Amino acid sequence: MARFKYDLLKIPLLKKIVMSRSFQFIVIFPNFVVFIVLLASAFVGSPVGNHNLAVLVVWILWWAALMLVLTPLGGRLWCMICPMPAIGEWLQRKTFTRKNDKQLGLQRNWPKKLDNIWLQNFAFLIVSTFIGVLTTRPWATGIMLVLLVIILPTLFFLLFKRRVWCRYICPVSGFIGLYSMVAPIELRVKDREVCLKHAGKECYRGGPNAYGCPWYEFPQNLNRNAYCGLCMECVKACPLDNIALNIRIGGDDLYVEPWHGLKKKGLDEPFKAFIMSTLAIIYAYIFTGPYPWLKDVANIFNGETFSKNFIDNILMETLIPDRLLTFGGIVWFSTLVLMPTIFALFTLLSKALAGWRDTQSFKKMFINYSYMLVPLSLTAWMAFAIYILLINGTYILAAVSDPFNYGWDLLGTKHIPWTPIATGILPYIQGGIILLGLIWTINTIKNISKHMFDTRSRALRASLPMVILALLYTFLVLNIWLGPGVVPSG
Amino acid sequence: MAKRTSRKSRGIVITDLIALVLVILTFVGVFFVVYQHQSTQEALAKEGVVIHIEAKQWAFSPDEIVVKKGQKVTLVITSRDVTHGFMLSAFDINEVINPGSEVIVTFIPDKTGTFEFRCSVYCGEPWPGSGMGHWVMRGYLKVIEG
Repeated sequence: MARFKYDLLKIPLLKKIVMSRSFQFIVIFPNFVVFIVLLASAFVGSPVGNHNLAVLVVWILWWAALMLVLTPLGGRLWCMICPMPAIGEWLQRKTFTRKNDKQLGLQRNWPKKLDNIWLQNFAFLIVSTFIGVLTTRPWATGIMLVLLVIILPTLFFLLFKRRVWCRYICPVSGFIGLYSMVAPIELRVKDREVCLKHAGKECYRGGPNAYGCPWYEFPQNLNRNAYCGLCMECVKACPLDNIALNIRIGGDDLYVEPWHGLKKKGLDEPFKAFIMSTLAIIYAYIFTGPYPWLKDVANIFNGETFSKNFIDNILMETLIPDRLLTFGGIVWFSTLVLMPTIFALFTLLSKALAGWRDTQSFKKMFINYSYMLVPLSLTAWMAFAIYILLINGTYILAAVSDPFNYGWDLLGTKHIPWTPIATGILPYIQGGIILLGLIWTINTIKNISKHMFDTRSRALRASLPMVILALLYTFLVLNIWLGPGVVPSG
Repeated sequence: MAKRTSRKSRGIVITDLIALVLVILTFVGVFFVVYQHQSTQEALAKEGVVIHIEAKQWAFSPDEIVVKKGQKVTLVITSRDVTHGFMLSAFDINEVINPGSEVIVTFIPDKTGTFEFRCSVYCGEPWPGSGMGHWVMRGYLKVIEG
């Protein structure tokens, strides 16, 4: 049975907007302004984390928006409007809105060996190692923003072709790509046969009014959302009007080989899934769990006083190597060793139940089943995100009224006290999300098995250990949020 | 056809120009707000006497201030650690000092004498019921003849 799909580009106004060369600038610019304000706020605003707009917007509002709305509903919608690559891309193209063939920079090709998301995995782990500092020290968030929005992307845009930064390095892009595969939106070609017969390939090479895919995707081969940044260049480029932006119900992204089998799934995406599913638990424990030692150990700098001057604030800090090693060890070991080992054991069990002589290799089962962690960890993150938003969201209302700590009260909300919202129903909302995630995951396991095994009974037997793993994970996450010891993080 | 193309490219150049102006305005706007604030602070400092007071558990630094009667005094009060208060009841001043924030109080002392200022927001004590810490966090303002 054909799945429901509706091409949004059939709406004439939307198509007209998307076809405009100014489209990207129009959707990025408002976020760019917000970023500049946040950057200033990080350095001249309150040095106290829960009074600083940059810290609050980045780590509460943006994170919650990403996990609750933008990614699960919009896929890579954030990438479409993200200000991180803006400066670099404007410089590279030497224009904000035009198509310019003579670009700035060295225009190097990205090494073939690095055509995966391992660098994004490591980048996310590096950010996570410093999460205790980033979420409490505005200067740290400020430095992170300078690095991730100005210095590093610009450097990569000037060294390499296209959006190498977004595709291979950005720490956020990796998990957005992973979770975008379950989003009810997709960019695909309308008729692949039309593309295969067409020699121009403007969508990849670029056309007179559009750049070739900045994300190194080949639209005719697109069968997963993972690496399509929804920049809409291919829509502008296609002379045959063969690109659709579909609203969809369901999707095969988690079960199919990339590019219709022309590319093979590696271990980079499964490890991204391990990282995300493990960190959803670690973050929950750090921010809300009943283990003060974990909070302490995540705080790898030893600054206990505040000054008005951000340079003084940085100089007052001293790195605590013991904590860095301990917390770094917890983050890197649990995500890269512990979780994959547990998963490998369950995969072994699954292979044993399916039959050792089955044609599916252990590696293939390990890789394919890892995609069950996508809905499982996404919903764990949603439970985390809704908690931090409802419990700490009122801090944002106060901080936005005086973003630079100048004694302003722009919106009259400066004196709103910290007020956790909906605490009575929050555990039920979280419980609902987590249980929904379990059902969604079991369905995903069923579909993965169906795609891998030829007989129903074999698929069923192979699924069993994975369902048990999903149950154990769900029990753990439920215990974090609904069990004893959840403490408000304000 | 050529005319249409050139009109189109002219339009695109204009949108590029508008985009450039918007980006520059963003940087300049934010820079201006920050610069303006710093200038105001410096102007304040030039106008009269500006005294920086830092509150920390459990003392003000400095805890003794001498000013002249009739001279405009600006107190810039900050906290190093937790939320403190600054109460100088002789001149009707009572402010909450959050860590990292800067509270600016301007007044003209119209009487001479020695006046106590103290912390007006409970900021802890070495051990419960000790009567120390917050309860003895105080300082003195001495106003002399100008």
